[in-house]
Amino acid sequence: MKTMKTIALKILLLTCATAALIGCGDSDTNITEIEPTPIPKEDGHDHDDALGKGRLAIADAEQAVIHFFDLEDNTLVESVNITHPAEYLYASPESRYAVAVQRSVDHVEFIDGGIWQELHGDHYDQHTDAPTLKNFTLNDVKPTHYVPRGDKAAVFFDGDQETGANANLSLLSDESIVQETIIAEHHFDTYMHGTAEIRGDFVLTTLRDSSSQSSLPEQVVLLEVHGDHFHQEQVFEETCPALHGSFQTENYIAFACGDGVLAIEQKGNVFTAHKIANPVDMPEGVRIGSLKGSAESDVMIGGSRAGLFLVDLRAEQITSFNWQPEEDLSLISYGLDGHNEHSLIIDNTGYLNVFSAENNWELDKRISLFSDLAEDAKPSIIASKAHELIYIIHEQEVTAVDLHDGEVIGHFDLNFVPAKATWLGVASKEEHGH
Amino acid sequence: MKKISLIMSALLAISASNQVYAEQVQGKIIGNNGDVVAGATVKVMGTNTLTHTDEEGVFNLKIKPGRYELHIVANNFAHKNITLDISDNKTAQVNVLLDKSAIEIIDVSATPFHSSNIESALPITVLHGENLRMRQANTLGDTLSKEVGVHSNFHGGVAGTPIIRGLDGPRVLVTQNGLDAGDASRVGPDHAVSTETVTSERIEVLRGPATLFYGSGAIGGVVNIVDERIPTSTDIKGEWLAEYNSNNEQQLVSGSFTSGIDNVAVHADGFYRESENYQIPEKNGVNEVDNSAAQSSGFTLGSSYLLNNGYVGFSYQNLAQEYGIPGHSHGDENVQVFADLDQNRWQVLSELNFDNALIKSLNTKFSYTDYQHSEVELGVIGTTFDSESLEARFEVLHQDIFEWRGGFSFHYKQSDFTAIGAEAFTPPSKSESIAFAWMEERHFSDVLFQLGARIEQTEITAGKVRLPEIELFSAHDNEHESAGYTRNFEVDHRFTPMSLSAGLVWDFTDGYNMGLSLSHSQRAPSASELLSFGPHIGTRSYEVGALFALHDDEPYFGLTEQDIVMETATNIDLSLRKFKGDFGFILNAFYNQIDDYYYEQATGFSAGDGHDHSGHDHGDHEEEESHTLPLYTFTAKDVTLHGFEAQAVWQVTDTFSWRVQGDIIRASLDSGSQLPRTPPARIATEFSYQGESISADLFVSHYFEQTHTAELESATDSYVMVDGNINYHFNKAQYDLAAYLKINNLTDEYAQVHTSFLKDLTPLAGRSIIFGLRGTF
Repeated sequence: MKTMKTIALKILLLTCATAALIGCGDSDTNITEIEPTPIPKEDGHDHDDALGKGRLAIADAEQAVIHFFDLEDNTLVESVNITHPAEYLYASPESRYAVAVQRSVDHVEFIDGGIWQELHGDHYDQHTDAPTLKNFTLNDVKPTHYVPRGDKAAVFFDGDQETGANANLSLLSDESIVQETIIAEHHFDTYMHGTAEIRGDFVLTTLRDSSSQSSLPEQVVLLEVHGDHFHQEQVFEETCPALHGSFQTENYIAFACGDGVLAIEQKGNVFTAHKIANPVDMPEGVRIGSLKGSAESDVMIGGSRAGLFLVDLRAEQITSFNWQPEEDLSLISYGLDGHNEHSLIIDNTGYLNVFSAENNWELDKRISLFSDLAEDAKPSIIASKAHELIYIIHEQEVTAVDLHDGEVIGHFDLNFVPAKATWLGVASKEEHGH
Repeated sequence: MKKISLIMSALLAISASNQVYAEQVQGKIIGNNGDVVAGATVKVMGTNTLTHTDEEGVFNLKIKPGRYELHIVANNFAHKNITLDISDNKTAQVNVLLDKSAIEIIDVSATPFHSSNIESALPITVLHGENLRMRQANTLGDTLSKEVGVHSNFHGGVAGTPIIRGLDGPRVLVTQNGLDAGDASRVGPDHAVSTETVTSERIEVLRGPATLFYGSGAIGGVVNIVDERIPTSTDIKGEWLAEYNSNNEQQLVSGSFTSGIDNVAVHADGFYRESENYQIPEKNGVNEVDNSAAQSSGFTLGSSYLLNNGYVGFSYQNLAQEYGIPGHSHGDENVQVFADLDQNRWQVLSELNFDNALIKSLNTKFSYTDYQHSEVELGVIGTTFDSESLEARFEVLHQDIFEWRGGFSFHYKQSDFTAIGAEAFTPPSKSESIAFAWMEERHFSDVLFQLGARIEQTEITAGKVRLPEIELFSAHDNEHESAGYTRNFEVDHRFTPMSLSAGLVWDFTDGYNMGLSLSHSQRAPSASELLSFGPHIGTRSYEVGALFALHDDEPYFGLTEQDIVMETATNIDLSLRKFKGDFGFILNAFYNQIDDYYYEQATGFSAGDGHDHSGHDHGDHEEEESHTLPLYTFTAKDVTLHGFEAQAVWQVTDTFSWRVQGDIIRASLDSGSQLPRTPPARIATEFSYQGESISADLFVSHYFEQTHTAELESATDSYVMVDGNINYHFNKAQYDLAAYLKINNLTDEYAQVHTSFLKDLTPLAGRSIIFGLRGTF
């Protein structure tokens, strides 16, 4: 009996001894510090820091090239060759792709700007890739107006009076560009220099009487998306002669006409239209030819040869926009910020005048950008959606402006002649949520 | 799956090479009242060979010549071990007399020797049969909360996990058929255990350190849920149940079926459960616990190949649960958070006996578990916990050497854990452990000695452990540090925990025994205890792992300057049992000294809850405070837990028994303060009637007031819970059926659970009337 017990104890001791050799009861911790990550601050607009400033895509005026600049450090990321020089350059609805419209050659190309995020289960993966030209192209006749609304955009192909090609409307989204396809299209039975406003599953677009002399449409039609095509739901009786320019707010869809502004209101599936006539004091030969504004304001800004107008859709009134804070200022360029919260006017003294949609387009602040500007200067305003930043391209210089702080935050020079430009990147949430 | 099929064929190959030449053993089992005992189990100890007695109390066994110990088990009788010498060409004849027992004695599969709860040095409780069906609740913790030494951390009825002798979380291992449940329930009290009790056969609870068998995670005990998913017989067997609970409108259906042809046995089970929010006794106009509704369903398929010397089988299980997390409101009381979990589990089990000079049997277990658990807020996934785990265990039992029975076990475990999202307080980490254990036991006349040792190596690696600079808010100082960068670390922890245990069970006089268990166990801290840094809504705290420490001068977090050490427990457990006759009792006392016990120490600071409140006005300091959580750091301190548990049963008549039980525990830091959420003392009595066609049970428990509270913890009032049930058993077309009625909380008592993180928010359910029908065949 005794021997047996000894054997068992020996085994136990042996196990313990073996255990001791391999480090019985040991704890060992190795910690290596690796690259830190900046963390987004918890307050206010700085929240968007993690999203980055994005990129600026600038078309080269002389070559079929789009240049991409990293706005973190204002350096050239890549110059991407396209087929023909871009006559217009837009951003896709979610600002991932540059849409290079080559109107005279009936060609639209898409360049992936490389900054995008991907929903990965419950979070977004941030991508920062090199810009690349997509194989996907649109090839209808005379692509002209490009209207992004929400996550979709309408591309209006004007067709051609000379060749008899009809107008065409295509609907696309960032996702459809990824899949190299369009969502839906609509073929018109005539050519026209038309436009479209996307409203959920509806699209309000233009109609032209094929016997008309003008290439401009004179009526608005309501279409509804059905799979890859549209059904015509309603033609508005109220006409809009020489229609050019459109915009929409939460409450109204508006089209600019030779004789005023056609305002359309939506209640559920019912759309009603009425005309706001040009004011009697509007000079002869002047009309509103473009509409801009903010989704939250029922007052749109109408552009005309004779200056800006305020189009109050609720009060059904069109009045001159007396934006000038001082006398003798003239408008050089005008635009909006990335979230359509401010309208921006560069005047001939080189100031940027900022008007707030919230306050009925009252002057908010003035920011000095340049010394006096020539009458024929054409600085362009490019809005960023990631921050309250805008970029002004003037001659061969880019000026970055922080609208929130009201100051110029940087410059960089271009070694090419710029044409159109657009901002690409990941948009932040709007400041003033609903 | 390819791996699993390889494992299966390897096991089949091993078994095929083995042939058994055996002699016949015949015996008869008789009770001490003179009646034959039918349905008794006769097992050859140290092997997987077993048989049952027939209607005449007779059994037959085939074993090869040698010296054996037979272990005989029958309901309501004390177990008996007899020694038997089998010689060549002789049929051995044995007659065994069993003594009646008021204490339920049952063999447990959670220990390698499969011996009974009475013969173990470590206290073991088993819940099975009708008792299990009557006590089964939505969660494992609530199912076991009436067991002595076990409490539930009651998390609003949706995610209660068991607390054994005051320990839970990473100290109590939940296993299913001996393998880790592979869920996230060890990480947070709002995470449900992913193993279903409705389709289980029995639940075994090992109270006290079981690291010897299960490793680091079992320093406080083990809950093993046993089912027949891998069948060991082709006998046709089935059970089904349908039940309705009036309190939360819970509907439950479940069923299981086992059968087979020739050597192939098959098993299938499944369940579906759906409930609404549960009702509580009205207080301050509230009579319902918001967001406590749950829905779960699952099924298991299994099959095994039966051999002359054992079996090899595999199973697949899918489980889906969706439940509201009460109180998980992320600041906005109207926003409800749901958990959505999904688990897929594959398992291979085998037990093989050998006719070999060295090896008596080989038990093999494998499992692969893929677990995902998302917290969904407003239809958007907030946090996803993902865990993939692999476990393998081999137990080799050797032939008796000088009457020492024993063997070795080799255990490998690996898990890959990630948490992504708002509540990802623990960084992705990988844990891997490999262990070797040795266990022996031997009878020296009236004393059974048990010895064991285990050595483990655990490695926890994390590629990117975050240390963000956070804003610290304190009650008396509104200054806060500005945020800047998150420091990142690559971390590699290696631990070599060691466990030693010695136990004895002394049958000092007939019908009594005394058990003594001494153990020295070590636990490697878990990844969440070491690496966490972030808000944990489940515990309503901002948790910081032990890798980091608060530096006092101008409060900021940096790496700790302390060594990261293992938790070391020295435990003494003493049991006294009377298990023969109409009166029986079990008394247990334990003293557990745990050095470097990891616990969450309050810092007096609070930090942001990690939820996006952009768009709110941030100028207001009060607003910031309302979005903060108290900050706790994991700290290792020495603690002592000791307690006493008692249960006594008097079998008054053949049909009527009366039980009294109680437990008490004290848990305090050696520096003097108490540990939080320590179970209150409790005493309970149970009256059971077991007639021909009627069985009934009345369980009355009194939970004492808990005034031994930790810093910042409030005391909890006492309460009395009265639960009862009645079963009517009948036969219809060869089916054994039972219609039953259960009433829980008969007196509609308002009861707060001290061990719950949500004691103020989720009192126990009010009066619940449950009726159901179940059948077996």
